[in-house]
Amino acid sequence: MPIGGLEVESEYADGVLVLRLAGELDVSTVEEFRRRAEESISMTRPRAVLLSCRRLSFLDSSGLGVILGRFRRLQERGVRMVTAGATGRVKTVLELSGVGELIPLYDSERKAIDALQEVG
Amino acid sequence: MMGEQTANYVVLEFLSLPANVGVARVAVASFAAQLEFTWGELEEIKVAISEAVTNAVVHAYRNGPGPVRVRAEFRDQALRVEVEDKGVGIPDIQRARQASFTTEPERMGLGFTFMESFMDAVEVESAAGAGTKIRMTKLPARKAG
Repeated sequence: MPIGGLEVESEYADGVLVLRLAGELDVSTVEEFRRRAEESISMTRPRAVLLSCRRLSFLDSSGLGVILGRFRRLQERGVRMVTAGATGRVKTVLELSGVGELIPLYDSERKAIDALQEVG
Repeated sequence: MMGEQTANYVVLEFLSLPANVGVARVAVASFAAQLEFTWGELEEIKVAISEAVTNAVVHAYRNGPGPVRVRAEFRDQALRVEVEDKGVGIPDIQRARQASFTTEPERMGLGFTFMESFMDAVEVESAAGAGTKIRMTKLPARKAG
């Protein structure tokens, strides 16, 4: 993977779309993320989106902006969004920005999915 | 040019293209690794450099990409980094430094907030039509005691 590269893998089950990010989300990869996220969302029409950040090694305010943009669009349609598995400075950036107050942060995909199933 | 206490420096110049943001932050973090920064501190440096360089990439040049110069040096055991462009300049620096001020949709306006959170000092010089220079300093925490 080149410096600044990002891979986005999507998986849909039981109304939950999981978007797994691997690599770096910055100004050079935000368009790739936006395109992949919009494609998967319009194909699956989920009731919730889980952004899995376990393999995301870098996040800055450009990346946060595109995450928040997807959150706002989903919120307008009544679709929930959560994140899971962020560690290190990726987690710090999410927390410092206040995004964590809008988009719940879970330690793992399992915990996030359990929480989403509980709410139904 | 080289002050008495400059122990080492690198200079990187590149076009203001998004693909170069990662190159700049990795280069500066690799250089900074020669000082006693922890892994976490190097990650903080990467975020701060990314924000400063992204600022130049997104805002500095209206008519196609232009030059961005990054100079990193060690002085008095601290890392000092300058990120400079020759672009349009920031009309109101105070406003630009406020959290959540942004001129673009889907951008968070948190660039300066992260630079200030992750570095010990951040100074901005800018003049309309002459460009912007962001200077940042960080001392390894174990040195700061």
